Amino acid sequence: MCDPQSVGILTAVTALEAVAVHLPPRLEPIEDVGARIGLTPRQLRLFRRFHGLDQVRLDPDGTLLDLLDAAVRALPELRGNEHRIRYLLHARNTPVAAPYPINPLHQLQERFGLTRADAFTVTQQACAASLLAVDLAGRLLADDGDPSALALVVAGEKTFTRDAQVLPETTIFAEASTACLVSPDGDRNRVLSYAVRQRPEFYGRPAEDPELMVRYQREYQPTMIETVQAALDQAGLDLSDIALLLPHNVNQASWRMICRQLGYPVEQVVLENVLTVGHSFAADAFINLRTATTGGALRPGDHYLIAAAGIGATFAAMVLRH
Amino acid sequence: MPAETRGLRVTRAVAAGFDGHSAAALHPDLRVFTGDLVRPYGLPLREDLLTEGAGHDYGEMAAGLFAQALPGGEPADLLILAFSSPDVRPAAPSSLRLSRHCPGQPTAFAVCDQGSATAFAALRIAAAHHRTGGCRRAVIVLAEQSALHHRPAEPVELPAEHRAVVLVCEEAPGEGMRVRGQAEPDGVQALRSVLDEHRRLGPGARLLLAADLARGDLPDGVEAARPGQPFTGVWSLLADRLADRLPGHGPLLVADHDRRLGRLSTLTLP
Repeated sequence: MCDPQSVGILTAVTALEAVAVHLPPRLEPIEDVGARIGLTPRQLRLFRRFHGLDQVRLDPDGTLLDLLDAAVRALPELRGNEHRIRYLLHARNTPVAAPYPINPLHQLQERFGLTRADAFTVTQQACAASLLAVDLAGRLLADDGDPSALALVVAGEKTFTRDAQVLPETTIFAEASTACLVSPDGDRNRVLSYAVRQRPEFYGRPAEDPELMVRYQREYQPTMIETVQAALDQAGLDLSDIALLLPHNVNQASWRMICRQLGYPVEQVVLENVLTVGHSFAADAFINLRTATTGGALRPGDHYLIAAAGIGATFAAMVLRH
Repeated sequence: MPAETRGLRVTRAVAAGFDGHSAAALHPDLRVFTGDLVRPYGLPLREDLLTEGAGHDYGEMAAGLFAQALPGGEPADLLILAFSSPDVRPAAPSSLRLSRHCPGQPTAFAVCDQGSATAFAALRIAAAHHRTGGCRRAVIVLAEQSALHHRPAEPVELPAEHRAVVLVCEEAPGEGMRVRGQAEPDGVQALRSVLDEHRRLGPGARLLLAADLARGDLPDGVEAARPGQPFTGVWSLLADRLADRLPGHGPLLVADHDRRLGRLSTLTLP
């Protein structure tokens, strides 16, 4: 495993300069999604009553390029700074997202004139890929040593196949997208720590392996709590120092249980987007950050924690100062 | 250079070709996933390849190479799987599966969507991790398999055989590897630029070129990878040359050019 001390020292300078969110206008009740993809009434009751899901954002006519394009267009801070973008990273759950060799990321790069950017996708850390992308962007920018350089991290995916539509007994996926400007030494949303825990024994396809799913669900909370604690330790903070927890929007129930075990007030967890957006893969982190900042839930100087996880399995947590 | 400088560089490489196919190539998931993937783009499936079960699994191919790449069981901190064309498990986190087989069970992820430059991106990330305190030994897995289970939207070169390469990057006294990338749409200009860089490195330097980049008679100290392996070709050649590298060797320059993306990438090993 990486040296956590060193990771903590490095990421102290990385900063999220600006975040933009695109929410497709179509808001579909989970019952409509269920009818379309063949979920049973029992499954839908579980999602609504136990997991607290309600509606998901979808863009049935748009492509992946359309989705990412809309997020980047919503980022006014990019205008005039295109030449400063040294890295363009797509943080993605699903490793293959377009028929080879179609490459929406490079189409995006061309469309926005990011001619100086090194553009690639980071994947295979499930919905924690956005935290990985922020960490990588920070490392690459720090290593380059150009304080004016920036990275643009985009997230968002199409729900084009069943495994990208539903995770049994856990969540229904959505299609919101985000764009985030990362700097090597900014003063907004400074990254204080980043912790990753991987459990490759959960590699597999839970949709066809109920035993794997049961084992994953059993280990999910303790591993997530361990990861959160590792990020807090690296940042030199206690949970009581965290003003807000930004979860991935997988469901409400798992976060309520984690909060009970952590002794953390669930009122300080941004959960409203579980109801009104849905689980938008790796984009959740930035969607919830945007909700927190525009809603005034974060004040300058507040510490907050972003947490995400996914099958494979990867758990990640990042502590930042607003 | 300060005496304490220790850079990360590729110290070992293992390459192998694979016959046959993986069981995953016959799994119904591949047809479902690929069918759903291509539907919005109006591209037909390659029913022949799906029925035949053609294709291989990147995790399965590379897992068996770790024993050769890390013969003493040396633990790695970081594992990066890099690929250009898709795996027969296109939705699976194969890098995590590989992490289970790799000494040290390193933190794992994958990079893609940059054509042949993706391999260099993985090396660049490993170097940045090392210089920013994140790893001491990294393993880069490069893989390609020959079956594309749908018609491509435009002509594209696919690998002639299933092949995987494991690059081991370790700390060593002195400067580390340098990875560079630049936009360069023109293949002739890309070759000229690489040959200039080779000359600048001095008379003892060797240059390894991807097959696609090589043209005409090559100067002394320059050799090209065999054609047919658009992603792993030059790295298989590197594996051969690292194996027979003698003490006191000169620097080694590795170059690839992705025509489609117009990107020239180089790796310099001291």
